[in-house]
Amino acid sequence: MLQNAKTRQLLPLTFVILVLLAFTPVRWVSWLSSFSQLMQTLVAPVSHPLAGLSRWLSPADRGPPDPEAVRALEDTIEETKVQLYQALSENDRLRAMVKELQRGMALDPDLRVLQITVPVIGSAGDMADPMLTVRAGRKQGVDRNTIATAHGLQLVGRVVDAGDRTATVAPITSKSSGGLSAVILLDESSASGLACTLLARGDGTLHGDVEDRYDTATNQPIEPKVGAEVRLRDPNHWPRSAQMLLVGRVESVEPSPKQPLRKVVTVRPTIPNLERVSEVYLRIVPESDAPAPAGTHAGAKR
Amino acid sequence: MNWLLFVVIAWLFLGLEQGLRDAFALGALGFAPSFAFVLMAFVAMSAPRTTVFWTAAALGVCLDLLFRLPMPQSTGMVTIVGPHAIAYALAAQLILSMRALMMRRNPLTLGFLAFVGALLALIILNGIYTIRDAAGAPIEWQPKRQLVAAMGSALYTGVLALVLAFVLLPLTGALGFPDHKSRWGGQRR
Repeated sequence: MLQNAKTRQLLPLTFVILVLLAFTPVRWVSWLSSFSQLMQTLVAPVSHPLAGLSRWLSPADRGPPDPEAVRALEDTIEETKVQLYQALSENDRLRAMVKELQRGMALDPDLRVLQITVPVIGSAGDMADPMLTVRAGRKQGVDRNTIATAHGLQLVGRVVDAGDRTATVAPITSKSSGGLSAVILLDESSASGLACTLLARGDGTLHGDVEDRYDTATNQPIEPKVGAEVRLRDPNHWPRSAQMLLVGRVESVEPSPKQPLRKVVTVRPTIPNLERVSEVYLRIVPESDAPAPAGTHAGAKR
Repeated sequence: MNWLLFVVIAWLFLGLEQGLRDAFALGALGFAPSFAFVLMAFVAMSAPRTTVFWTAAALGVCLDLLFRLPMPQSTGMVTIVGPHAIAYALAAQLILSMRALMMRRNPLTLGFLAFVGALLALIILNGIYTIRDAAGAPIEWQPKRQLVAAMGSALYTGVLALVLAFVLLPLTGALGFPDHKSRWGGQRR
């Protein structure tokens, strides 16, 4: 078929076009992303079972498998914790809101979150820093900034690209995710804690400086503890539906190399390898839940 | 060439690439084999010259569509069509120039050709993305790390090709490639 002279003449032209496309500015070829989504969909029938099989053989959490009932209970506990912290956080906000209301500020409507379970059908991007391709897209209501969580409401990451039927999730442990602000809980009865700014290190952990705060009663520095829960509190960059989700637990606390009196923490997600999860829960907000300005409504209702 | 069978095999290999590549990835640098490149190397080892370049272009474009690059700060993903296709075509040219000296029925040949071809392809790919990055394209790209990763990934691709040779070589006839049973694989086409 391709042996004739015509196809031989077309070949150089094809490669000239490909070279031009390879160096065309990204903004002029953004329309190609729809073909990319189509290709993802085309290979999904093969890649999905294989990705599922490989994740079954090499799961994200290599510990002994939990019985289904225990997993369900753990999910419920985590969900309740998130709701508790969101409620506590909401209380703080409402106290501030009372003052705002006195100045005539309107309340935001409550936030509704729809959670869907979607399988991971493959990976995208650089294998040293992979992203997850999931089988849900705009047709399921997924859009950029939709939050992905895993078992135990562990924050996995957020959607950075959504096609009609597939979407790409950037895990929080991916270097390209750009970091986040979080809070290290000092005790489980309060949503307050030490603020920290975390960046992915590329080895499955996040690392960053912790707020320098002193106990007003004793004048002693308040230090984060190994094993403490770290939850997302980054209203400037993450949607409301993601606030107070579990980022991980403090793995180590060290003096900051820049300022020895300050501390830096290493945080490890509760699921050791977020890039290997076989399914994620996408938290879809029916209406736009774009990152809210600092100090605005931070609560969520499920 | 039997294009229908090739399309089916290509679809399977692209699915393998998409579904299993991360499972095979090794180390912090992410050494990972390329299933699609093994298929391309197999075609380049056996098919007529024009067919080889069309195959390189087709598989390359498919991979360009599958391999999307993250934008800084997770602001989105970028699809750039061309780099894989160009890299595969140049690697195909290298394999075409070497294949006449090889014993094509030997699985080691596919392993070796896939290794050298993948090494060249990954270096070219790295070069293209580095130029794009330097020219201000909004992509996350670390040239030095990618260059080191290319060495490991090429070797890994060669090892994978050695294994897949036992699947691909028996398909030579079904795909309509000339069956080179002589020790010195045959004439250049």
